[in-house]
Amino acid sequence: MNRVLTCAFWLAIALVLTFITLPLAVVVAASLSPSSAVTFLPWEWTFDWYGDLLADRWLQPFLLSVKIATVVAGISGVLGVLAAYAVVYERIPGSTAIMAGLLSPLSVPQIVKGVAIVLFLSIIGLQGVLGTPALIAAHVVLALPFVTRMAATSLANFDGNLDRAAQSLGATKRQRLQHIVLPMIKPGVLSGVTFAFIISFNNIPLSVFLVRPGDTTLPIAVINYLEYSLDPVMAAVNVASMIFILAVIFLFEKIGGFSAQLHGGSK
Amino acid sequence: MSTIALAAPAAMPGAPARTSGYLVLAPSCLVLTIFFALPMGTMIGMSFMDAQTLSPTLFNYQRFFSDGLSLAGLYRTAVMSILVAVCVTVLGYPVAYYLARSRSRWRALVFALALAPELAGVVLRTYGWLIILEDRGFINDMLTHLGVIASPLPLSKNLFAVVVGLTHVVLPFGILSLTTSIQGIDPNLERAAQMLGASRLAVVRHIILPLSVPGIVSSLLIAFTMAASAYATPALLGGARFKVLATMIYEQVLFYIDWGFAAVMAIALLIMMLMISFLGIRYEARRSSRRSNREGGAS
Amino acid sequence: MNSFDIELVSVSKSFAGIPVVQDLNLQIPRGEFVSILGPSGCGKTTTLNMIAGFNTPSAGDVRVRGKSQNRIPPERRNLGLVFQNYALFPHMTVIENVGFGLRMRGTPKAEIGQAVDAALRSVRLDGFGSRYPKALSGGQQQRVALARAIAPRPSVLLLDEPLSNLDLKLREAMRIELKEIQEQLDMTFVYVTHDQEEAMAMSDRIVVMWQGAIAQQGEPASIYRNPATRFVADFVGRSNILSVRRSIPGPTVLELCIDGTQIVLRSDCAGNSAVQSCCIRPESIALLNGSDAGAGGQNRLDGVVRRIVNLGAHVELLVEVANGLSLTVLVPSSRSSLVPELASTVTLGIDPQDVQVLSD
Ligand SMILES: Nc1ncnc2c1ncn2[C@@H]1O[C@H](COP(=O)(O)OP(=O)(O)OP(=O)(O)O)[C@@H](O)[C@H]1O
Ligand SMILES: [Mg+2]
Repeated sequence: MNRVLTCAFWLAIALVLTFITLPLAVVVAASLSPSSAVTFLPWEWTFDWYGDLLADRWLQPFLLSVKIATVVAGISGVLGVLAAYAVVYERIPGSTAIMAGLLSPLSVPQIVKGVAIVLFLSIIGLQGVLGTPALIAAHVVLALPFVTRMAATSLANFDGNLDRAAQSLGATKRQRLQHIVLPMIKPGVLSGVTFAFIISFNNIPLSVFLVRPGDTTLPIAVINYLEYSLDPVMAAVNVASMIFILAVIFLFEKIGGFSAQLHGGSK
Repeated sequence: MSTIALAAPAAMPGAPARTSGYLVLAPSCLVLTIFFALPMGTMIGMSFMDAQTLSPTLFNYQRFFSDGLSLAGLYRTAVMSILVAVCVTVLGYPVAYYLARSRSRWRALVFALALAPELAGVVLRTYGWLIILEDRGFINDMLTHLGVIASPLPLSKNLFAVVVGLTHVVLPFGILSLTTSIQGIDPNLERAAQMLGASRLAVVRHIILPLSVPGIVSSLLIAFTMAASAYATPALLGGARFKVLATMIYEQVLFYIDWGFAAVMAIALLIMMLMISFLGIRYEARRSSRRSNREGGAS
Repeated sequence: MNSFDIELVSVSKSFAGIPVVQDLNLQIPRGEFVSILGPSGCGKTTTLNMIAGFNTPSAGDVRVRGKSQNRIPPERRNLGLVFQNYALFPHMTVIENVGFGLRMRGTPKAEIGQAVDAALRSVRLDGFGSRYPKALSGGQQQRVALARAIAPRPSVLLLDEPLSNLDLKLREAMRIELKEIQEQLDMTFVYVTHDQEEAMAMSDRIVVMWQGAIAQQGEPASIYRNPATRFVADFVGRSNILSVRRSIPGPTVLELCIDGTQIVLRSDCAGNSAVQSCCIRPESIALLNGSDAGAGGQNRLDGVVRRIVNLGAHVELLVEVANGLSLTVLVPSSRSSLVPELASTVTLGIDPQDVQVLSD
């Protein structure tokens, strides 16, 4: 009886892990397949499809996505830290309500936010006029609550005694913020910023309403292409963009990890 | 889904720099007001307006409830989300149990395998499923090759494909919430039950499952809300043949340019999500009050 | 067929190549209260877990009533286990907790009810049955855990530091209760603890463990009186441990030359010339009056009182008997009139039978 159950348990885990990895493996395999029909595992392989990525068709959307994601990560990082600072550190009156307001976009599905923004821009006559700025604004609305929440959690976990100790040693508020508070919350903020970059870079539900034809982000370019073709260049695009994301995470981890070590690995 | 446990912040020193506090808050509030609050207000307003004349009307709502298509879309969305929630929780549970309990060196690998896909983005994974499930895709191709089937099985552009794709997208979140919950169960409880003669199955049934109900509930809720609001996966794997609210909203905005009706559909989706979140909050509240009752019995 | 409830035969256990228990041999007769006593990390829990079946020995054999348990899972060993953190099922009432073991064995409902009542009565918790564990104090939870473990009447009860989360008073009361319950049920108890007083108070036999091996086993009194090794002398009770430079076996006594001094102590112990150290319990050292000659063959040492510490029931003196050698002496407070002044000179009398030779 126990034996059967144990076997079933391991089998279940193996199946679930297969389920999780299968589509990824298939995409990677397809990106290396020499034939243009992506049906079966490739018995030969080629990097040709990756060469196609340098065409403007993919390069332009990629650069646009990187540009937007960078700006969005920067803006949400700064605004999020400032908001968390005001609410958690300064504890201005009504901070609970303010925090709830700052986080309220989280409970609205992205597609609803997208509709709302596109309707609003249309009403004020800016739809179609704004391309990239509208995308950036929409992505900030999406990312800002996440960053605010992570920064607020870091600040709330921050040991107030450290700040008091610095104060008793004669540090001014400015000095304390610079030398104590910011370094301590940096890992939390950095992961928030990384997250902001990724959700902007991968975003579809908001972008789909706001891109202008001929000036799209990478994920939108991909799904538009997928509507009528499944050829392996898509696989190559997807794999390349995943590698890019991993590189970004690695980069931020380097910066954040260094600081975390320096300060005793606080979260 | 969006509540943050603003754990009583460590009492912060310093004179209350009130003005500077509000000043610092201003940019966030400005951005969220212009690009979130105003748009949401506009959208709600638009739902009560005629798209052409902009005069007030309830027509959009009447249409939503009477045209049949919209309610069918709502129904499909709910069915799909429930299936995804159940699949995610059932599939995630064994992995979560392993992650919560194992101390082997394979644990890190399983953890990475279970969560790494989250970094890959939705398109890549959906594209993978497209390749696998298509009429001329991996599975059909293989089965035809082996002579098991003559004509391709209908694996894509339907409920099945969307549920598979979304389960894959949401699974890591389900695993995370289940793992956290199971980690909170003292492993000695399982040992105690075993010492009292409980078989593995009895331990699962009488100890682990009842104690991980909160994790199961949160996994169901997360999966439901994520599935109901997903756009790209239903769009690609469901296509024109399996439309859910999210894809129907997109059509209304970009093809039919019927903003008022799109607004009504968006509101319907929003209300469904808020109701589910509300159920979650109610459950949490009930649970904590039950717990305090038990503790109250001590005095 | 023998009368041992539990036998460990050359049992070893290592985790990832690091040995934690090494070549352990232990026999526990039916109905005995055996304590496994040792410092933190010496492998007590690991040993208990091997008996319970949660750890598989890397080598050797665990036998219960003469039967090897190698491939038998914990739930079929019919042993009880009480955890340090109680491990009560939080989603079940006290009654459900205590009845769990019988329910798993498929006992009829009515019988379960009776057995639960009896178990709760024996830990004096009747009337608490419908509470949830959270609504009980630590001591009450401990009793429920005990009732839960004994309700299915296992042949052996394993207890892993079950009292260490309780406060001192409660712990002392529970010691007596535990011992009474054990005698009443006539069950074999294997009791793991790092608290020597606890082990002394309850056990028929104490097994002192150190670094994964048995350092000494025997009745509490004999372990206290005749510690075999330096570790046991140090760990069980308080001791003056002296290094021996040279030992000279005589016809009746062993003469021990203490390292770094001119002192020679006579001991009743049998021994050879390779003795490394000896120990003297602080309370077996007597303060002699100048005129008092003491008994015949007694060791006499002169020294200066360097420190006096009042411990309540006792007064502890630190007496410097030679350059760099001080002995701790315990004097009952009731005889405080005997306590000398600081820096005064005193004479200490030590019976040869209280000088215990140690092996390392
Ligand atoms: N699962 C394990 N993996 C690796 N090492 C372990 C494991 N369990 C125990 N150990 C190690 O084995 C040694 C003995 O552990 P054990 O828990 O038996 O000690 P103990 O005598 O019960 O101590 P304590 O009084 O602190 O409970 C310790 O050094 C511990 O680190
Ligand atoms: Mg232990």
